[in-house]
Amino acid sequence: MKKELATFLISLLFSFSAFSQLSDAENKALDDLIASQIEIEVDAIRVSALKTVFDAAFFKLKTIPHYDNNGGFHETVLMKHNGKITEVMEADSLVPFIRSDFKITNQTDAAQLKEALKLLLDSASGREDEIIQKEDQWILVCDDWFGEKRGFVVITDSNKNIQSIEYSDNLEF
Amino acid sequence: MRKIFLLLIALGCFVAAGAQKNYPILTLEEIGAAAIIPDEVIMVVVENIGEMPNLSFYDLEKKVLMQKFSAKLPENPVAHIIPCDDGLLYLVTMKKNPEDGPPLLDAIYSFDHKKDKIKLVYTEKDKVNAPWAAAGVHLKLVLDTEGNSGQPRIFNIESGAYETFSTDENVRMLCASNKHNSYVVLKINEFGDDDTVPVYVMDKNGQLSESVGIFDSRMRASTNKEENHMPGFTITNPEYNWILSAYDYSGFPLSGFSIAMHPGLAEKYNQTANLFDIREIVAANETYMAAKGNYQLWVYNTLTPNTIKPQTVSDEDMEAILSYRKDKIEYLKSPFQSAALNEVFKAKFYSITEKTNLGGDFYSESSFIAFALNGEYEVLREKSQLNDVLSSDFKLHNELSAATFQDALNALYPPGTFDTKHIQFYKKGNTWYFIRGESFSKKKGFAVNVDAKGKIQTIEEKSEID
Repeated sequence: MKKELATFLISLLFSFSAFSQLSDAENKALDDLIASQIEIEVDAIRVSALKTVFDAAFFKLKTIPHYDNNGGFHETVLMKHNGKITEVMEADSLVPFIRSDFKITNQTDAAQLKEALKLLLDSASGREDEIIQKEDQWILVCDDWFGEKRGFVVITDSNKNIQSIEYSDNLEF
Repeated sequence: MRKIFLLLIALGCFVAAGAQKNYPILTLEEIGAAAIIPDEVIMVVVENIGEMPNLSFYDLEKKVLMQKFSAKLPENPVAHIIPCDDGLLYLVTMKKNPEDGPPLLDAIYSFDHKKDKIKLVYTEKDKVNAPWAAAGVHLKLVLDTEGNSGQPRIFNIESGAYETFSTDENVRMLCASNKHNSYVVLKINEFGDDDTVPVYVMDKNGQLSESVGIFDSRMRASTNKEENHMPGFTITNPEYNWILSAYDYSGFPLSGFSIAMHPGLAEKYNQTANLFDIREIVAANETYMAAKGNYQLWVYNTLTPNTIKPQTVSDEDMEAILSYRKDKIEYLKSPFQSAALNEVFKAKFYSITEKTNLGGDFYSESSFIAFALNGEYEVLREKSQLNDVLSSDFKLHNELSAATFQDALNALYPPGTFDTKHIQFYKKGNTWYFIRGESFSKKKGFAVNVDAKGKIQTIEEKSEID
């Protein structure tokens, strides 16, 4: 808590001291310049796999800085649930937002979950397309990295509802 | 609240002049094979929505679903849809390779859209690769099953059997043209040492024309733009200029380098708004282009680009997202405080750092330099811009003024830990050299050319200084 407070106060002091060196006109002109150099694109991700699996809306936020001329951009996937926006970071953080009526009863359901994850997470991209069932586990193989299989282990309960989704960079079958 | 939203939009959105993108006129999901009917505004697709896949027609001019068909599609997936001159569409299906290799050609079906009826035309008994690309030339289906290593299979719709492409085993197809009822070909035994080869046109009877041009197959990717080379045609007989277009709109699906090898199409591809999401171009003609990626199929009007971004996000969601972004990203702005800078340049410089909260106490930062001159604010992108903001009073005529100039550089571009020991300046002739570091034992920095009075003529960044 102390650390957080200290970080906050230091950053506040820093931004205040930086800000205070600028006149209002400079500050506004620089804000306008920054706005002109940052291109923002927001698109809803409307793919049926997402609607089938998740009880949330998803968006792709693409930020393209034009101040460095290197052609790079930054892309994040955002999720809206109950009016709150959050960034999609890890597979396990998505579990609370899985529809209560979505169950994994067969390969088709598992493939639909894999497809949905692929749209949301970089870790779900890859050329492998294997799905293996082991009792209450579904293993979604997404990539092969020098012989190591990478992907997700999905654990379901007795009702076939998803309990957890864990990423692994060395899947064991 | 609305005002805040407008302010956020104004702050957040940037429309780069001249960087107009071509946005899709149609976005579809769950699409399998697709084809655009030549000289029509109709796209035919396999839709994988619902229990059973089906064929649908889309009117690309009106941007709407035109007709959904109920004919039951073959069990094996449709790899290609080929419009043919008999008014039917031919569906080429593929099947799994039992030996775990690439998929195999399964069968050919015809589809009569007037009767909504699919009929099996041919079943492949041999082990034949599923075609990479397929086209229709009058009443023949051209199935590219062998790529560059062999000739295409020609399926004659009337006889229901394959026929020989060419009796000359050196002949390879570059593309087919339904419009000209012919094939653009080369002979592999005619490749020169320079990797170029004459191009011929083969008519429906297998007769070859005189050479109509050259195909240069050299592919070279270099950091030096001038050394880059992609394969392409030089047509020497103007009557055959149609080859360029025929080649551009052939060979689907195209991805990666294959797109770059179709220059007319590559140009259109580069203008698309979904450039980084496109995995492959699945169909195109002079007016439309269909591409796939992220489980979606996008259709673009490439003749009259759609420069208006389709709104897929509600105003309320946009407001929430921009507000979220604003909370995550902070811009730290501060003026450079340096007497040397003020002496050397007439502009005022600012450091701007974009600080992004990555979650918890983790941040990423990226910085750039801005400057103000006569009330105009600009980004300092290139070091050559420093030439335009030099103070007319500053003279680089002795060691002291050179030290001031070096201090100004140190303020704008502080040397890294390993560069500090290399920082120095010296004069040779009319040029002052300011060493800023070393890379692979080569000194790098600035060469500043001055006139007899020490007035700076040019400031040039050098990656190698003797």
